[in-house]
Amino acid sequence: MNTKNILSILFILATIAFSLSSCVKGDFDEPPIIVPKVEFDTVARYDMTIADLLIKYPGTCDSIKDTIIIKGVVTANDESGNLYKAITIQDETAGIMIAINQTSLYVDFRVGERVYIKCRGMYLGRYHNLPQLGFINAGAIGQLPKAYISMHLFQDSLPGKKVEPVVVSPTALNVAMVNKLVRIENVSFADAGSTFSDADASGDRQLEGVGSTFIVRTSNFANFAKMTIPSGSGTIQGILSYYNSTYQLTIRDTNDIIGFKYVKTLFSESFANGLGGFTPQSVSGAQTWTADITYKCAKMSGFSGGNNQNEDWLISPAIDLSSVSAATVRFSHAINKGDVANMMTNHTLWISKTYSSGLPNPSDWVQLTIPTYPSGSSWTYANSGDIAIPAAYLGQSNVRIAFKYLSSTTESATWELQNFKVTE
Amino acid sequence: MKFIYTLLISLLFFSVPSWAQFSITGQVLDGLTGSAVSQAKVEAASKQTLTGADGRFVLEVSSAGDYTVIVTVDGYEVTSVPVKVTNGAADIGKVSLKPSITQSESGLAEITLSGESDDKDQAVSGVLHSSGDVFTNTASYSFSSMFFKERGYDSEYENVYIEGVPINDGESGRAVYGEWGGLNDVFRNREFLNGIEPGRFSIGTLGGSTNFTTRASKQRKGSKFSYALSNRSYTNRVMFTYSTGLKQNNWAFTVSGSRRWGNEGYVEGTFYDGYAYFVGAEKKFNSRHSLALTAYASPTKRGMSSASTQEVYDMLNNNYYNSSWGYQNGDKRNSRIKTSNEPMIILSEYWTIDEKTTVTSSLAYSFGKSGSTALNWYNARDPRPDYYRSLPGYQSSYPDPVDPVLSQTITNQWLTDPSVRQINWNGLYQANYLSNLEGKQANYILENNITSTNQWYLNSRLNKQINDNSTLNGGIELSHYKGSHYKTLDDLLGSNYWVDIDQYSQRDFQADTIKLQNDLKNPDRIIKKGDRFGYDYDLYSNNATLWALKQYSFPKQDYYIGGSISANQYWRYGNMMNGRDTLTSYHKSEVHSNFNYSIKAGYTYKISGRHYVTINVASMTRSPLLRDAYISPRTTAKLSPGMTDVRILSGDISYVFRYPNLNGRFTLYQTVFHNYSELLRFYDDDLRTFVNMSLTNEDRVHQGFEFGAEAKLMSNLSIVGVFAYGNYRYTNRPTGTRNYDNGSLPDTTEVVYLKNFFVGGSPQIASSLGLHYNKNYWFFDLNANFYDKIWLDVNPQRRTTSTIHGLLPSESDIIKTLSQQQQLDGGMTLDASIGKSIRINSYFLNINFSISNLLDNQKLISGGYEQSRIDFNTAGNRVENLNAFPPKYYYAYGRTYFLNIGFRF
Repeated sequence: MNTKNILSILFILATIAFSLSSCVKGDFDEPPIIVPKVEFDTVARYDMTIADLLIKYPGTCDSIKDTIIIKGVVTANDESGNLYKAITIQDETAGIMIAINQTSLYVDFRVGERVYIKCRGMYLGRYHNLPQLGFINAGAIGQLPKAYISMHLFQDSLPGKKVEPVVVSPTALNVAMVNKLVRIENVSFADAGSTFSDADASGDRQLEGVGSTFIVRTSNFANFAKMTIPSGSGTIQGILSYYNSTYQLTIRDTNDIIGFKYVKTLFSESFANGLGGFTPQSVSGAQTWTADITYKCAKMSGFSGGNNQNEDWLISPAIDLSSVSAATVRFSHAINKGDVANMMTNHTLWISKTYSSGLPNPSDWVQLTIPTYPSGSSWTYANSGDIAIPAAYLGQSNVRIAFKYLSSTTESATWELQNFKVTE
Repeated sequence: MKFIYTLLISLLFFSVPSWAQFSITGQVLDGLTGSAVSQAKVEAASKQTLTGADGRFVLEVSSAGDYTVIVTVDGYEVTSVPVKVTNGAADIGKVSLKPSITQSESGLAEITLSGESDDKDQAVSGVLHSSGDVFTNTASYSFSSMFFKERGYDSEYENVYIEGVPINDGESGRAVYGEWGGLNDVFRNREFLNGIEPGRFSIGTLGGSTNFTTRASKQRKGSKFSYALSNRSYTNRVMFTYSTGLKQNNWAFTVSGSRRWGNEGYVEGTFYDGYAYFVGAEKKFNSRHSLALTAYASPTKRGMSSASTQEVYDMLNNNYYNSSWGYQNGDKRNSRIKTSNEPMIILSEYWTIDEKTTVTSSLAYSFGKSGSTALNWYNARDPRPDYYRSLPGYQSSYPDPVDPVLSQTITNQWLTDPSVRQINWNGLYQANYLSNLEGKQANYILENNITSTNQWYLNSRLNKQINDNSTLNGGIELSHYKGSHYKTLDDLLGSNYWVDIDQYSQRDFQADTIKLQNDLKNPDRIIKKGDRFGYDYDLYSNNATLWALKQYSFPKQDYYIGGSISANQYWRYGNMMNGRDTLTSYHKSEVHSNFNYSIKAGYTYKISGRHYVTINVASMTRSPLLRDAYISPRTTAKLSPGMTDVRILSGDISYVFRYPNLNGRFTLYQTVFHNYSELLRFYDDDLRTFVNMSLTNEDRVHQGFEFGAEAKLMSNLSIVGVFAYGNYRYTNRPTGTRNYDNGSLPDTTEVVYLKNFFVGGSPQIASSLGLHYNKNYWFFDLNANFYDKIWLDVNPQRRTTSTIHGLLPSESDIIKTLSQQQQLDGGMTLDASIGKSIRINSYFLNINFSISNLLDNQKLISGGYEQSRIDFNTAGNRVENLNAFPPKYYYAYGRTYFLNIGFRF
């Protein structure tokens, strides 16, 4: 072996040794979970409850100049998108919304997380009467800029026990409950079967059985906005919100809707684009059921230059209930211009399992009671309420439901129908 | 068409009477060692040959006269020798070459800026041509840091062959130089075709062709060890090469290996970790047959840099800010890591049928994987620090009025807090840990987008000297390609799992349980580390090319005619049924086929043996790249609408002069592209989906001139001047079709107003002035490079009527801002190098030290792109904030050095 061969071997070994010994960092240790701990320095500070803070700053946009510290537990955040750039926290006394100019806040502020807030430098105000802690924007209460978050909001410990909702009744709400997590029991949705929000706007959905008008408002940016509202009744919880003088509920996600039944729609007709499969049958009188495209409803009135005697039916197509063990009818209606005293006799609902076509034969039909009528003197719609289909009609394939309208030469009301629905 | 073929065939087989021959002979030796230099290119008056193992050459020329013989080989100075040929053979005797800096020693070959844009990767040309042509040498060497593209062509118009195997990527059409990175010693021998000219190994293309000769018997005999130290992509390089040369037993072996590594390159947060190996064996069976096996690979892993907006660079006072990395437990971690390992095995057969006929065939197989990691997130904020919503400009826009304290606070956070300025890894982990507590899926993961390729090649070519005046070159190239595309979950970042759905579709189609599924056969699949998810499809193609070239040579003139025909078929195979296209996304798609041709012809008029005029013309068609063929291959097998073959017409005319003390070339060229197609892909923030935009029926012209000359001022001092002037423009209004990945909108087609805009991506003016001094095996080089007419790539999206929708005629300044093309500042760089070769008995030591951008010019933008996103307000139905998405830039490196010490024996 000559010198050059030995050298070659040495250099090969050197190259290999270099290759093996020189490492480039590629593996990284996983950082440990951070358990945040708040340790404020001991400068003068005022610990305050949220309720006291709200009392101290009652305006629409007050600058907080004192070294006030509040603390609370996160009750809602923007995870589902129903809240946007906001979280709510609450302590034993009250709840408050924190408006922050940052998306996906939930990544940092999970429900159950304890948060301390150094309020000095922030603004407390009311947005259409809803209290918010944030920053000033265009002279009004707005969102805390992102860069200021780390100066004002401090998480403490890992998310722990979640706040228990307070059971409230929509008839007994007060301002002190606003921004708190509340729960309402034994309610149902008037708009079951529709979506939580409108297509391109927030949706207001009425709760029923609460003895008062009460709205569940859902943003069209919520990740459940296009889901169907369940029927039946149950418990609903969320953050109590306030808009001018109206209470409304913001649910955090669909887990806040408890015990409801997600049911199948067997038949539906909105009347928005015509009468659909329904057929008008005029037993007497010149006027008939028509579709009102402008107001998106089915409409009947005996008035034409004066009051006219009429009997007019609007009969559904055959609805197949052959494999159904329970079914419910519901619709919205408005009645106006008639004699309110006769409203419940002149506007009635009927059911048949034998009718096939033509004018209705009374022997084919049985009347169903409409639980809720509108005022009779306005164009405001009322929900009919749930109308259970009698057991005799379940298991039948030719079930028809009809609206029967009566008017006379002395009075002729207008009856408008929307959102007719038969659900399981 | 038929006429063309008839013409082609008749010319190919047309033969002419022979003429008397003249030749120049000699022997090329290493001036320092006195040993023979093989594989050196020897040329005179448009003729060329290579030296044999003994350094000898015989160069046939077609007439008597004065010639200048130019000898070129990597690692030596280009050397010219005057000779007068009277009759028969003229012997120029021994030509001693002076060693010079080589590409591997200067390190320039390895400047690779990582490119990433929403649209397309920035192309990097890394082949350093060593040819007798002054222009090409300088352009490929000095201009590489500015991504200068010869004649402004896209990289798919440059062909690279290794032992005759065309290795351009099956989908992007580009040669991936990194596949043999770190093997500089064994990739030294190459043949180069300039521009459209054809040659012995290929019919050529538009932007030049290179064939590397890697067979063991042609490798320089001996051992070489080198060490390099640099502050560019890597810090250290060790490289060892050993070649036996052709031994007594007719075997030749070569082994080479290298390692390149660095924890941080010139750009903060980038790292480099590369290995390379090469094994070559060759057996000469007899004087007619040799068989060679070549296998190599260059597994590398690199942390990438990023492009950012000028707002960020200015704020940080750093044009090399890199948003790809962040601290994790105090260590710098890069989120965008590119890995590649694509081994190639080539079996070549060299058959000398007779003195005038050779057939070279090769069977090759390449396989391997490349990956590119990126962060992904679910229902969380974009974690990239320079995401536009995180920048001071955007953040300061709220509240109203502007709060000066806030602006200052944001800037301070950027300047002082690495968790704001860079990726906050610990924060991403913490978010995931909190999700774990709630039993939820990861907010953040690191995914790896993988392309795994398998390709077979079978090539054969014939080189035949028909008679003294004509040669025939031709060949067949066959290949079968499969590219598998999928992504895997690379790192859960502390979380427990990920769910395989498309979150953009989920947002838009809440009630639709089908559309959001990436893999409908496995809906809502739980993904853990290493699992494939998101998309999984294979692209296949089969290609066959037949080419032929016939060259004629006469005392005063040469000419050639040649052409090629190629057929190609391709299809997609989906391994997942995607919810957005259940009909075509799954299993084998329809098979599509293409047919293309090229025709080339050229003529050379030899004014004398020392200067000549040459003309080349070419006409060809080319199908859209496989990469662009499908509008959104991850989700569908639908083709990009409207894509057609591009038709190309190209021509150049050159004046070449070769005097002993002055040589150079002047060329005028023009290329017209008709029906060019491109595919762009970007994220639309407003619609919250990826958008694919196909650009079709686009016409371009690339015209200009090239000049390069070298003059010897003294025996040891020469001066080199190079000037390239181009005018690369769009000449019509192409058609743009947008397709929305999440299926939220139907495709829309509209006119793109690109006419007269400049084709970006390369300086259109590049020039260089260099001084070379070489004495007593010391050498000094000084080069000044100038660039101008640099245009930012235009984004078609901004040049449509839908973009300026709602703007009034009185708002023409807004329209201008939207649609005007940005011209980037020109500039100058200075490169210098010094080297010394020392001989100690039969051991040789080379030391080279080079500095690029000596004056540390940090203001030269080497690349960039206009962002595709436009702040279009859907509600207002017009553009809102013009500056929401300003262009992103890459800057050419400032001052860098490369020190190389080589030891050869």
